[in-house]
Amino acid sequence: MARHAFPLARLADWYGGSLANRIQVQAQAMIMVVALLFGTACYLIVDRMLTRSIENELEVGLRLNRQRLEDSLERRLGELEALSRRNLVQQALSPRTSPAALLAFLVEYRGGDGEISALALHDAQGRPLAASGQGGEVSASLLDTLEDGQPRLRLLRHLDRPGLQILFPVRLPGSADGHGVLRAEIDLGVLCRRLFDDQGGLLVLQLQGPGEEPLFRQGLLGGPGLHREAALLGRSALLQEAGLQLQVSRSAAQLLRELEHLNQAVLLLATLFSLLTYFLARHVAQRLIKPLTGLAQLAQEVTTAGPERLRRLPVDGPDEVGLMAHAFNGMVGALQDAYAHLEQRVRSRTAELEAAKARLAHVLDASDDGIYSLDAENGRVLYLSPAMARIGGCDLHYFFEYPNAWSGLVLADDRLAYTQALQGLRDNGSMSLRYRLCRPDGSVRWICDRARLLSGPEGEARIDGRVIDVSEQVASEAARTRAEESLRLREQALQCSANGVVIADMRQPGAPIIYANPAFERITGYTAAEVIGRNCRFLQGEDHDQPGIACLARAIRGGEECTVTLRNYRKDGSLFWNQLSVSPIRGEDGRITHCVGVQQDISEQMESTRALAESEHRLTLTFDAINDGVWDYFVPSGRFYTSPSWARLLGYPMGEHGAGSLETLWACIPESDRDRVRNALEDHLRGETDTYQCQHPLRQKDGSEIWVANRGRVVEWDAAGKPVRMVGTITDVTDRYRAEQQLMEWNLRMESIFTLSPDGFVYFDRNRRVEYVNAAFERMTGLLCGTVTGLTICELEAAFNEHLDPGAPPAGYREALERVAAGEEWEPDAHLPLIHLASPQRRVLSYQARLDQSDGSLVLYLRDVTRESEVDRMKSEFLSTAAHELRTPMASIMGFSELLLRRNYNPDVARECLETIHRQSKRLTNLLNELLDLARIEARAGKDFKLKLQGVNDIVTDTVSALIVDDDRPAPHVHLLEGLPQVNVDGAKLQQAVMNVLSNAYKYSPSGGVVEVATLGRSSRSGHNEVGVQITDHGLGMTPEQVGRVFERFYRADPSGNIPGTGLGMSLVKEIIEQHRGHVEISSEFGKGTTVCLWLPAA
Amino acid sequence: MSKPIILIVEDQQDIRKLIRMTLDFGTFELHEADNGESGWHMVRGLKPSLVLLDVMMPGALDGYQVCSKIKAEPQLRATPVVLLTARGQETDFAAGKAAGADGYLTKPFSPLQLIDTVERLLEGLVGQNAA
Repeated sequence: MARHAFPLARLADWYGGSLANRIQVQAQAMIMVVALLFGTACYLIVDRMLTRSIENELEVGLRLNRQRLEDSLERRLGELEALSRRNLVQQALSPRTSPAALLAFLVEYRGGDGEISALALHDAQGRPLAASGQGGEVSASLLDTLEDGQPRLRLLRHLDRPGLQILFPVRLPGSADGHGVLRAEIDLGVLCRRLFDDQGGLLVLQLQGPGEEPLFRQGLLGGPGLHREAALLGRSALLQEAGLQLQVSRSAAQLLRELEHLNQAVLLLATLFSLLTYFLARHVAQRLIKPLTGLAQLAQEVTTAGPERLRRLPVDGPDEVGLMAHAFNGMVGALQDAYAHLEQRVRSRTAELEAAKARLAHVLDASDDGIYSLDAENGRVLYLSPAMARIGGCDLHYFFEYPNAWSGLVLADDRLAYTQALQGLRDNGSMSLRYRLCRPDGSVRWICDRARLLSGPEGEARIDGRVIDVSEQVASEAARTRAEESLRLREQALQCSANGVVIADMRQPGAPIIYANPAFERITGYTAAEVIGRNCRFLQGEDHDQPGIACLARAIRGGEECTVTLRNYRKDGSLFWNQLSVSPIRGEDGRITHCVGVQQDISEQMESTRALAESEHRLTLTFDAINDGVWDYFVPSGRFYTSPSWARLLGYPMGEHGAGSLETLWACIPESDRDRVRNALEDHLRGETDTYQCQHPLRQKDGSEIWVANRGRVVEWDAAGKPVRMVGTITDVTDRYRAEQQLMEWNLRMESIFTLSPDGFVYFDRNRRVEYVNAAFERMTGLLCGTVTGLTICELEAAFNEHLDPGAPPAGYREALERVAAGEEWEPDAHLPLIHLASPQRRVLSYQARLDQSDGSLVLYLRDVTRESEVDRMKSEFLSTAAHELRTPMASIMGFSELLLRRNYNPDVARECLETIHRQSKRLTNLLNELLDLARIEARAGKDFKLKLQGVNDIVTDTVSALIVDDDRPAPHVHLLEGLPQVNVDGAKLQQAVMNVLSNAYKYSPSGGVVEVATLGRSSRSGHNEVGVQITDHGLGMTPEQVGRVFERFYRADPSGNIPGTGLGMSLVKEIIEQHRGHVEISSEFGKGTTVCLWLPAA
Repeated sequence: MSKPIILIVEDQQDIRKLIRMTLDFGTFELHEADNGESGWHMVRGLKPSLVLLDVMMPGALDGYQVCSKIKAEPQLRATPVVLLTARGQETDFAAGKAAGADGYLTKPFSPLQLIDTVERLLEGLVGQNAA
């Protein structure tokens, strides 16, 4: 900032230089204005109050003192008037009295205070009869009073002591002329001093008459002052005549002094206040401006340092600065993102540009076409592609250094045309010329040069051109012309050739013949017209299986020449051997356009070599067998030749194991197998076997063993028929042997698994015939392996059907099997399909099938689920029965309650309905309780029994005492056997069981009869001691059929509903007793009664 | 015209009473049997207009069998038979259908439902006869 010499300008700079300064100044100015206004107002108010208070003081002083003065004068006047009426005074006028007595009285009356300066009585002529004090002149007013008899009051203005002269007329009663005047003079100075002496202080009192000069003054007024004045108004008009005025004053100097103090205090306060506001405003301004300064600094950093390394502003509070900081942070974040994005884009653009440049460079480098760019003005080279160097045959620098280097290379014959073309380029803007170029190495190339005149971005003219080496093209054009010339000659030569010549057009589909010469017609018997348009293959007739054909096809595909020998057939069908040479002919683009075949009939030659070739071929094949060792055994000499692979087989290096005797073979065979191998060989040599074939181990050089298959045959015999020579092969079959061994092991293992498996298996081979069934299958179905092996799926089904349960749903496994065999996936989650068998015993089988994709075999898997399905059946039967039993009471409850709700019945009928509902509800409750008990006991299997050793007699006694019997029925007769062993039971459960039996005994003997309860003991068949509780009734009894079903759930011996019950009681009894490892015995006779005995094992 | 006769064949006394109370409003003449055999005899003797037949009853004949017998007799074939049963599974309905039942009420049933069924079947009968 520039430093101004001028202080005001510096102040202006300071003011404009910082927002804090401005805020400070403005805030301070504002506070100062407010303070000034406030101070002024206060000052004015204080001033006013001071003045008012002084005025009040004056007012009060005036009123008080006037009152006092008035009262004092009035009183004095009253006294004097009273004096003038006193007898003593009146009598003094009489001439008979001596005035001396009066004088003494007047002197005494005056007193010594000097307030009454004179007191005198004047006679009718105005002469003083008696006078006390000074004065005594007869004034005009005295005479007036004598004349009219009116009292008078007059102000005396003596310079030294002002006073009041009071005149009262005095009359002598009873005398017409005896009258006079009482004169009194009051010294105002003395009076006022007496009155005002205690009025010291600040007030100045002044008494004045009608004139201006003061009569009396108390206090001193040093300078200007404030005044108040008032006339003295007595009650009598007399006082008013005097025209006296009282003035009260106060000095202004005192007031001014107080105001001056006030001014000083205000000034001091104002100074302190402005200092305080200065610092306060400065502090506040700086605090306010602080976040802004931070923002400003950060903004400064953004502009100087860039946005990457910026810190964040602390955001505190939700105020505007906080918002601004937040927004600024956001802005900085966005700026950073944008910056990063920009950087990224620049980088990627740069990379793209680099890549494009590199690509262009590669393209130009790889291109055979030369690209150049010249300055049209001076021919200076601007750019040359690398191909230019190849085309021109010299380094690129050369062209850059010498602008006319290129035209210098142009062959002299073409130079004129080139120069003209260049001129044409400058005139017309384009050029296309073909000319020759003589390279520095002397070779001449044909060049096609195309160029255009362009104007560059800054208006400069530029020549861009492309140079192509067209030497080959030119050469081929020349060659074609030559070829066409010679073609006619060749055509004629072909016509005369002894070999058949045929040309096929490879571009057309089927490669048809387009030319055949007369020799071809002669050899094949076909005319040219007959063969043109057909494929050469027709010559092969049906004989397509020839090695030469594949070779020929390969050669044609690969575009190579080849010579093959084929069996071909003439038009008359006769065979001839055709030595065919085929050459492909390529077009300019390198693709094969035609094939020329030259054929020669070599049938005779062929026939003679065929046999030789065949045997040779076979031999080659034999020895080509890579891993098989080949041996050759000459029997008489015992020599044993082996091929190199034989040595490899035994682990010897090549050649080490060449020839030897047969003993070498034996040496390699372990002793355990040697005899077996030897016997097999000798058997064959004796002619007993067709071929020698033997599999045996062979010891390798390093001692390890391999398994080999050894095969051989005698190939030569002597005249006597004895074997002379034998050849054979030896093959390493170790892997196969081991695999076989393993397979056998697996088979054994699988066999034992399947034999032991509880589930049945049926294997079908790939022809869908039964190959194997396991023992479990035989057990399940009664079908033996021997009888079913070889059966088809249908036949197996037929065999199965004899055993099926006719009442059961169809099994459907044949369809499933066929579906699986057809490749459909077996649905494992489908409803488990079942087969119900009636024989050899009732069984339920579930099945699954699986197709082995690898060998096409099919497996049927059967599982015995008889028990599971039986349990299922029982469960669903129980559920349906339970539902029935629960619904029956519900029918009454619902029906009767609905009737009661809908219709109005008389109370008796309604009560009957309600009783039924109640009865059935109870029944339902019992049913549910018993069902739950049963379920609980079954589910827990006695685990929650609280077993305890106790005597059965106690339990029976408890039960009987808990039994409630109808009034008309006798209590049960109890016979308890003493000395019974204890039992280990859950007392409550056993009591429940006994109670159930006992209540049944009562229920099923409705016509009465005694119910007996007894306890017994016995030794069971197995030798254990048992304790029994026996309950006998003499009631309805049961048929044997009913006895058989008594433990069935919901079975009721009386289904009519006459006897209440749920049908679960006995089931529960049985369940409880059996959970205690006891059992229940029932004997009953229909119509006679029933005995139930609960047996429990003694502890 | 005489009142239509309804025969109730039901082993549970309470249910018989319920049916009787439900239908006993003077329109029908009601008869009861407490098992299959006596029910079958009463059908042949009474020639009722409608038979209400419990399915699960003790004795030689259950409801399905009685129903089949009624439907096998040409003279009785037109008699509507309503089966009352506590078994409400699909197979039970199918068995009822196979036996030729005209209606099937599952216990517990609403009396109103029973009246509806009975009246619907009897109206159909009247309609048939009229035709």
